[in-house]
Amino acid sequence: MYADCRGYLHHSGLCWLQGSGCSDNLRANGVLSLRCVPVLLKFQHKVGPMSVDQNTVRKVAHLARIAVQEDELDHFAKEMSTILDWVEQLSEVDTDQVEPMTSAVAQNMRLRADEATSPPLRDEVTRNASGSEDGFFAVPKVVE
Amino acid sequence: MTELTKLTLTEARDKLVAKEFTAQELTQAYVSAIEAARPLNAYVLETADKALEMAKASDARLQKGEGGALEGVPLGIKDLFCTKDVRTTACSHILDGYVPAYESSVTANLWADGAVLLGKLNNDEFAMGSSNETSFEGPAVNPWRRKGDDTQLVPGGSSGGSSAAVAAHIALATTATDTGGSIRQPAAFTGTVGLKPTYGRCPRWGVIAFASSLDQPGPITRTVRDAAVMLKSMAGFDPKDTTSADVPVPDYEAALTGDIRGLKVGIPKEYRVDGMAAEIDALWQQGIDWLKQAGAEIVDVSLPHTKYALPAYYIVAPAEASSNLARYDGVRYGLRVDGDNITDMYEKTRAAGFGDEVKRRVMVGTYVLSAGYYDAYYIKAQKVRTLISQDFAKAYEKCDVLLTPTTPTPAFGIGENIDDPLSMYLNDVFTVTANLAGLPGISVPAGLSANGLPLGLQLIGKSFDEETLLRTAGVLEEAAAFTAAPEAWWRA
Repeated sequence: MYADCRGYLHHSGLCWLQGSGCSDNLRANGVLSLRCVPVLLKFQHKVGPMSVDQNTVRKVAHLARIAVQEDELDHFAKEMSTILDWVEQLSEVDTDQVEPMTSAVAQNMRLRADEATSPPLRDEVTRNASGSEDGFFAVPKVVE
Repeated sequence: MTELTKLTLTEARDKLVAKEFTAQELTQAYVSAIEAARPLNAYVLETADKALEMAKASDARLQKGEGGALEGVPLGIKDLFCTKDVRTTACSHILDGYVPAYESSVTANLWADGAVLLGKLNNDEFAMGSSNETSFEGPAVNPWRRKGDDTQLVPGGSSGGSSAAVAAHIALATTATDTGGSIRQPAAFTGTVGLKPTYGRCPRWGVIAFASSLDQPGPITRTVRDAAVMLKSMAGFDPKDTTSADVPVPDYEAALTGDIRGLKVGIPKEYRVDGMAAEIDALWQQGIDWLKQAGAEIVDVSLPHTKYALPAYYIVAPAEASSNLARYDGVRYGLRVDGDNITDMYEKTRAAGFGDEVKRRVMVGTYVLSAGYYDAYYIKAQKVRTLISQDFAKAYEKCDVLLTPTTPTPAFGIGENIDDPLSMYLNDVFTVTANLAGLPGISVPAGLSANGLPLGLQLIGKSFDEETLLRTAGVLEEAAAFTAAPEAWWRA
């Protein structure tokens, strides 16, 4: 029944890439279209309440040292919620006995001798700084 | 297109050695072609003077019979690679005017082999995107257009300038990087060959970091043979990169024997998503038939955790990005916006310097790494990554290489998906698994969509077995005999 549907859910509830032939609205008027239920089951897409509110955005933005204006909070909250709700599907994977991956390719961490390997590069390193004095990076006053 | 810019990399290389033309003539042909192709916005910095100077030095070496493997070959370099004394910004406002004091290991390898720098290529800001639309320099444009339709299409991303330049014959080959599909998806969108090597095969030192456990440099080229030659020069052990693999680099060109008799090609059933576009499905079946006719044995395999790859990626990649991008603080390089105190300066600089997609990912990454969430998100995603990697290990007990489509659709229009992050992310559904497992993958142009756009088939190989990957890709390329080319509408 959903032969034209690409099987990907769009967070708005519409099938992804409708332009390519699919016009399924999976949540029209809050009611799931029957023909898309198999897709929904397959992908376990959860459409829940927003997981990130404006206060959380404010806190995260400060942790990330990105100034966010009051009128942008709602926009960021919606976008972050969309992404975090979508990744939530990982919770259905049983990982109790699984070790987290620490390296994409098995290898041992190499050690090297603790010695200088390049000539002094102070001028080159500070060349790109927005502010530098006497070979140091210059920043606004940090201590009172 | 002149006769000189029509040549493939390997053809040009051989003719340079045979002195049929000089490196300066070849480079000048490319410099002129680049000037005539500015509407594509593929290059964000043209380095014509430097190119001609390098070509002159190449001619001197060729004259003495001392040329390297890429002597006199003009290349475009993705703006993610640091190039000494040549502006490098990762197409981000926050790196305004940054001029590296050092050369990335990959580009240093290329110059050591005699290659010529044509300029720096457009990409999504910090390689975050699948369409090249997040670039601070504006989108690169796909040389291809739909049949009877002049809508401007994206060249894919993040390596959109790299793919557009190869397709438009304004570079003989290009460097690119692939974190979730950023080499293979743009190659599929532009009818070019895109090779993501095994994680650790090409050094990451001097490549501006996005997600360090996933990033891998590789080439975009016009042919599989060109990809083999480029990889040989780009690859190699680098003590400056702790994840660089200390393994020998084989002669990849010699691996292109054209013989895949008895090779076992796995077809992962989970990639056959319900209701996949009929033309993509048909192309995949065609690819299976081609390899079968060449003597390969087709094996059905299962990669059961495939559907969790993208969600795992969108935890791991933003988490690592938020950490890597902490260095852009207005102090050491690029943009600074003054503030009332140092924290205010950081926050204003980063608000002004990062684009929306970068901010989104840095904030998602900061969130999933923050106190109380780390285990639930990041560790969970890394565990899922282990399962995805185990899926591949099991599949490779039954086969040597996997065949899948590269992308679920052909190139889309500029602006069509930009307001919808999730739709954009789904572009990488077939490519992201190889990054999570660290495996090599290649996209080969294999056919045209009903509306006349290129489509790619992807091969995924075993760890450090780029030879089998390239050999199979060569057979696929020969069977597909893809000769279609975009009309040069961009030339005034």
